Amino acid sequence: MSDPDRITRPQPARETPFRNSWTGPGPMGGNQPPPDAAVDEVVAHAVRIGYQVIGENIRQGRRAADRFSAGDYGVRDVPNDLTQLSTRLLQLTRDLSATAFDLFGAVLRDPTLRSALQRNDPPRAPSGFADWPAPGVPPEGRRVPLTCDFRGARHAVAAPAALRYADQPTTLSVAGLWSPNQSLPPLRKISFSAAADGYGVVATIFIPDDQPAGTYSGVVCDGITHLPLGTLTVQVLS
Amino acid sequence: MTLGGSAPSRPVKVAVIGGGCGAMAAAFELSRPELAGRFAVTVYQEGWRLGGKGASGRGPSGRIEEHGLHVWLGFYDNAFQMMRACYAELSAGGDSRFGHWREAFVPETEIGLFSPTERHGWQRWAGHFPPRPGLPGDKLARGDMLSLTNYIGRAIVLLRSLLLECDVSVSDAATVPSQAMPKLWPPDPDMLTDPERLLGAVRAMLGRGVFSSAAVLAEALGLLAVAIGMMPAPFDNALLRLAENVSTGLRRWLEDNLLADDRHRHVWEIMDLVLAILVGTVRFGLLTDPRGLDAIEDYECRDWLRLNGASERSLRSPFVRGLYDLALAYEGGDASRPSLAAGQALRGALRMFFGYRGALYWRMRAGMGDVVFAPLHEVLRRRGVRFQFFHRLTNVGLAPGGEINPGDRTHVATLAFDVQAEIREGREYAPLVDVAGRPCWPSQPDFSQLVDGDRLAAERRTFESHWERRRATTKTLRVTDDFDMVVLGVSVAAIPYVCPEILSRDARWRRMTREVRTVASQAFQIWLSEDLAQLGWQGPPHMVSAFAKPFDSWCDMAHVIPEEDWQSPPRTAVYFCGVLRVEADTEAAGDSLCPTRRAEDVRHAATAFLAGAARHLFPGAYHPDGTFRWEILADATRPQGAPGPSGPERFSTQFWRANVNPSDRYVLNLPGTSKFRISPLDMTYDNLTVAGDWTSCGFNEGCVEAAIMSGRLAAHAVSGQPPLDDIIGYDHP
Repeated sequence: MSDPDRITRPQPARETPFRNSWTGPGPMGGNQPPPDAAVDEVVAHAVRIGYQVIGENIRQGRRAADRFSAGDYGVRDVPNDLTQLSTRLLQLTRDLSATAFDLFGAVLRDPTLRSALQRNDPPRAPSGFADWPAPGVPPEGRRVPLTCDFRGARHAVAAPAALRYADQPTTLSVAGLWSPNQSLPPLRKISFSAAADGYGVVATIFIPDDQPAGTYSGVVCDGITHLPLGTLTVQVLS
Repeated sequence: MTLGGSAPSRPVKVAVIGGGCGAMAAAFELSRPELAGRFAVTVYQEGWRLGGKGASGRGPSGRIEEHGLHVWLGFYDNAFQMMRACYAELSAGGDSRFGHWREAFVPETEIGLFSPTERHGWQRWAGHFPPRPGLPGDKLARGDMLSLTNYIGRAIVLLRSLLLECDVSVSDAATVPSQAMPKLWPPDPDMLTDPERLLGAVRAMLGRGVFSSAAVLAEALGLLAVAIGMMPAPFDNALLRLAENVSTGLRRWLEDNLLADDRHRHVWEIMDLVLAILVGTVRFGLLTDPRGLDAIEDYECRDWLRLNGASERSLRSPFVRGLYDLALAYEGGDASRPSLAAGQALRGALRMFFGYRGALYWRMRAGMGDVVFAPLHEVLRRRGVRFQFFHRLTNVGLAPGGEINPGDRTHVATLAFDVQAEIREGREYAPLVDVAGRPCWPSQPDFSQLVDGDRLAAERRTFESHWERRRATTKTLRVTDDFDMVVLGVSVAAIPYVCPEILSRDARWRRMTREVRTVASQAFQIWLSEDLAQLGWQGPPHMVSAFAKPFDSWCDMAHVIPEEDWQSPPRTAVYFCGVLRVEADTEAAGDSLCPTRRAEDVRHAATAFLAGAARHLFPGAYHPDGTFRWEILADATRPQGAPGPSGPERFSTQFWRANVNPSDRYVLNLPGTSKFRISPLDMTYDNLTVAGDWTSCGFNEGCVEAAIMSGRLAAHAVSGQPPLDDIIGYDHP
């Protein structure tokens, strides 16, 4: 016989932890290493960059999925969160479909990583290494140079970048440029145009006055196929 | 009526059973001011004090008497978060007796490990772990990640820096013909679309043997770190081959250059172990496996490391033994049966060494009872939480029905207690005493507050003993009338004695109590009239592990002496602990002499230890003829100057204990047993949740952090708060 006054526990959204390596929050920190960081720190940072892009996407999607399964979705939240969810899932698809070397490229184009690698610990390098060209050189091949035009009062610099040729004429899109420290707001006002000399692409990036200094990066995609064409990395100076 | 649906018109009555870390964390969360009194919490606790395995008391001269040796590791984020909030709330309420949490916890950066030498001696290895940014319990920045890639990145950084710091006489450059150098950079453009080609080039480089150079190995490790960062692409096999080739090259180099050099022996062992973890992580697909480290939970940790190339020498190294000692991971307390599930072992080690904030570990200013459970008791009382001491649970009664199968739902209908003693005039028992100006837990109950207290004292009632079954009366609580929800916070080894009805009907609970094993432990404390330097210890006072059994871990505790109340304070105190060999998980309930017999075993073991192995630690504590100077033991039990026992008998003035009560036994995580744990979020019982380090709480290891995570999960199960995302480390590979 049921007791109408008896109170029962709410159904939890889930009963087990998420163990996927990409998705857990934690104290390892997404902070960018200082400009003079040892190459070790920078290598660890490089690993973080790639995973934070993917981890955040999965996490966002998971939160939305949790809320659906928990059944406590506010009616007014649905359209907005659905949009966010679909955007995130789309972005996840893009990221996962990117080759590993897009991520490799992203980390190597990170200014801090690049400058650290260029130092290359010379006192310890054997003689054979002295002949190696500096890493971080954009690859040769069918690539379109991408330059940046910054708008706003803040100073910023861009890491040299090139986009892969799209298979068909298309538009370009980028959802935003994110800092590895994801408590910082992303740069979202970005548009693309053809370079005046007819060769290459110009990204016009508006930097708000209150944008925190740091490195921001995002994947530039084919606006029709959504395939990634390259990574745009900028550094907002303090 | 379901919580989370329409709000009940009255406070929800929550019965919290037990007073350990898990139960107190649940009470702390459910009584938070933000919840505006939605939950009316009552804590039912056997005996006179809170704390569970973390309970401590004050004995003669106000000396601190612990269950064992407690330190808080720098990754105990949930635990520190709770205590920081607790201290802040007390301070904001005008209570300055406890001070600031930073005064209560002392950061430490040094650990010591021992390894036996071939000449029957011991070699000491001291490790310094530099402070890291932040403090444990700081809020995590959004987007910060606890991921294996982060850990592996850190591990590779550690390998690389150890490698570069090695000062070996062999000339690297001389061993590497420059013409053998492969051209790795800039990469062929095709490599950017075909990772196999780049990795193939790296393999070719390895094949030419150029990895005999430390500098090239360091570069290869950097490449490996980046390659692991690219794991989403489907080239796990290539990555595995790269990791294995790098590790093979590195091991060969290490053996050639370091193994013969005793100074570098431990460096070699660390690197060998990190390499095994690195290769195993890739080989077992842990970076992408949705089970995370649970994917290797069925392996014994040393077996898994061995599978991935760790040498026998490294597996016997003080680092591995220290890991097992820290987790008291010896089945049956038998030092010859170390056993630890690989997944959780790795999770614990990665968090400990790469996830700490502030300091690697923190010592408490005084006893754990004083620093943790006294302030918690004060805060909870101020919030309106009620405490019913001297209540021992004897049964959790269920709604009528038969065997409970997976997916079935039922509920708790009654809670039956033995009331061990009643409080005079129906008052609430006041459990704390003042020592040196601070509220503390006494080692004995205050019989003067109890009905027939003189008689109970004369009868030597031992309220915390599992074997003490005398009682004043019984009490039965009924659902809806007396409680709505239950947080069962007793330890797993006690469950057969407090939940017989659940075990008789629920096969999952029966399996859990059978498979999730515990181990008895032993501890002793000595107070000394000479400090460590006078006793011959060289180096910083710190926590030491991997020493001689049975007391393999010890810690200098000189810093707690000012908190005690000695007429003539000793110079230091040293706490020792280790496992206690007891074959059965619990001894017969009717064996009332068991605790006395076991305590006597500990006393004999401790005196033998002081007379023997401890000479390697404190050579100055011995006479020229090799006998221990028993007279340096400070006697708190007699007035200053009064004659006390001499010789080995003087040890009787010190403190020792055998943790054989079911609720005192340390929870193990043996291979293949995690899956039998039950989560606080489990919904089989719709008005019951569980709390403690024996539950499936995301960090399945016996420790304060696991218990507090579990308590927070239990609070979430009842109230929906805190959000699961706020329980740091729950979602962790």
